[in-house]
Amino acid sequence: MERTKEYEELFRSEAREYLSQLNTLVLRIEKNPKDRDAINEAFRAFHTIKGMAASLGYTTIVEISHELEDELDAVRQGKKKVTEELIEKLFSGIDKLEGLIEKKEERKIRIYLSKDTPLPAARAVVILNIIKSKGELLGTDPPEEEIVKGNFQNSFVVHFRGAGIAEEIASMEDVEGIEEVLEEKEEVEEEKEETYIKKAKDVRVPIERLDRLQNLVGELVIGKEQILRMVSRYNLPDLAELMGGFSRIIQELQDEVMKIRMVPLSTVFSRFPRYVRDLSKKLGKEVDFIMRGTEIELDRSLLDALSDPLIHLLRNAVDHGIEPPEERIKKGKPRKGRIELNAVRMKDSIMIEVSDDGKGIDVDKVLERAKKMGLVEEEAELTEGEILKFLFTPGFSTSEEITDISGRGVGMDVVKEAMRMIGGSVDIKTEKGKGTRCSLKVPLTMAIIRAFLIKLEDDTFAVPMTYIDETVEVGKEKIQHVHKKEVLVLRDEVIPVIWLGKRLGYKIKENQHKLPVIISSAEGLKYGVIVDEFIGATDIVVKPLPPLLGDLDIFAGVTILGDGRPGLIIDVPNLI
Amino acid sequence: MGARVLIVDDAVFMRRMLADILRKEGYEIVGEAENGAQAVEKYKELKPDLVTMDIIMPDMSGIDAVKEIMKIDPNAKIIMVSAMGHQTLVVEAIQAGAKDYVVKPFQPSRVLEAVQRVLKL
Repeated sequence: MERTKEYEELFRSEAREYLSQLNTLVLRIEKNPKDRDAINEAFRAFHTIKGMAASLGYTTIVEISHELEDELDAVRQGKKKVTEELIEKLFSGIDKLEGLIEKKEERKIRIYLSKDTPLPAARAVVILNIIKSKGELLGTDPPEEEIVKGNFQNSFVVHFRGAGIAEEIASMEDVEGIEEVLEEKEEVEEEKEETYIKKAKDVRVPIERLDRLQNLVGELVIGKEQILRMVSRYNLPDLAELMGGFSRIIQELQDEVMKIRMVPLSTVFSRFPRYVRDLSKKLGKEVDFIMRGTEIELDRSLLDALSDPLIHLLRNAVDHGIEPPEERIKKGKPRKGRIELNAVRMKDSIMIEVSDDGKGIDVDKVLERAKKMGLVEEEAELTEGEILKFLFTPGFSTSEEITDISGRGVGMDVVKEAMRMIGGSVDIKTEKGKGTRCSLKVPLTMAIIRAFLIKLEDDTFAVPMTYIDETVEVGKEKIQHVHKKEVLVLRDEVIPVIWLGKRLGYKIKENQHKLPVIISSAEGLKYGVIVDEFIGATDIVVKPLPPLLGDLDIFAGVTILGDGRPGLIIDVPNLI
Repeated sequence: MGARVLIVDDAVFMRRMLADILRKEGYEIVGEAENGAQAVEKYKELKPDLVTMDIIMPDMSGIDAVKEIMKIDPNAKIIMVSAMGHQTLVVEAIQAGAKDYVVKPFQPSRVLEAVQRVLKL
């Protein structure tokens, strides 16, 4: 039994890789029906899936992949042409296979009873009993009480867990046929099952074990910092030398553990081209979708957390950004819109940008809406950056009509919240008529991060590096008052400032001439955070906040500093 | 050796037909009962592999008999034999533990299919 499970798991992860390749290949075939390499490769991929499934007795998977393999074989031999119909068939087949593979033995099927079934309700109850006795019934449509009363037309849906049951039902006299019911792919649901790292080809380790390993390394880092502090306090040169080597080893260990958790962005991003294609088709848009930098690696759990926000941004780009072809032509734009997803590796973070050449965000409309919602006073004069910030307010949406794609009033706030959870930030820029660009800044890893330590009076705080553009020390006279707001003029740029001490209830030092300022930008806005003193950059281990403090969204977590004292981690975007 | 079957029906004609169909396929008819109460007694006595059970019978209906038999033997394999139009009753019987049903007038193939399937359970 264990053995079978192992095979199943192996099959699942391998088939998943093939299916993700197939999505790309079929897109290639759609673009260029003469792409022989893609056709051959797709043919082989279906063939391999079929072979694997057959040895596990997954008959439905075998049937579907066999059929698609045949189709592609016919194309290969010139007996068949690549038609839109064929492409659709391939895509829907891939979806079906994905559904079957992800759900393992869990299935949702529609059962068709033949028209002359005597007492259909009784037949249905027999079927339900078979499922209950051999597996687990998870749900039915219509509900079971209705089925029992015979309130269904010829067919009904059962959702259950258990191997071989569907086959048994299909072979019953009164059953005319069964059909897989594919659910709307719920990413979230799938993610839960993905506890295994995809990238590693040789060893598969549950991610929980890596989490544990990382926590242990975190403890080690804290311990090291404490020893180093003691070494310098008591002036112990011998120990200092010893610790030098020791620190390097810990650093290496930390790097290695981090690397193990890294997977290329493509593991999640590879399904985006398909998503954009399907969505634009549905909405009557024409879109070229380009991805760059998907080979960059990121911590697996962070990558998972990115999936939803990115889907959201892509959806916005297709739905609200790109105009319909006729409108684009009228505007003198190329008929086809262009959406780009670019990932760039920065020093301690990854920048992921989704940009489109669509109609851009109507800033005036956003302001109007903000006023209507009472987010801002009628006569307020705001910069574009300040106005765009309203987009991140929960329940804010400028879309007039409610479509099933977006415009339900859930919008950028979801993206912002998701990014906040992983210590990242989001930024948005737009130009009317030209397009919109959303940037997500994501830390490379979550548990141990680079942070900049600062002081307020005697207390130390940590600011994650991802939030910091630069640090400057400016003369007090550089802080000026504009419209009752304090701003800093830095290289001809006017930047609003916040006194962190004031926000957290510390005394402000009156006699300080040079003010240390952290320049940060998030959500389309640049601002300065004034602190008492800079300490410097260091690695910190992020620990979740205890419950009471957890409600204060100014803090993103807590860390243990070198002197063993706790230091709160400032969640910069929530200061403003 | 064929499975041992108990046939329950108040009509001799029906019992005879069922017995013929099953015997032809090598099943052994170990007993017959003409009402529910008798069925329960015979079940206790004969411990058959399978029971075919009519629904509408005098002196304890087929459904009550199913309930009684299931109490005696939770693994009992019972197939309901019913007239068209008795859907609610059949559903009730199946919910009570019957494994399948056939509808009168029945075709031999349908009876055999149900019997074979239920015996495999």
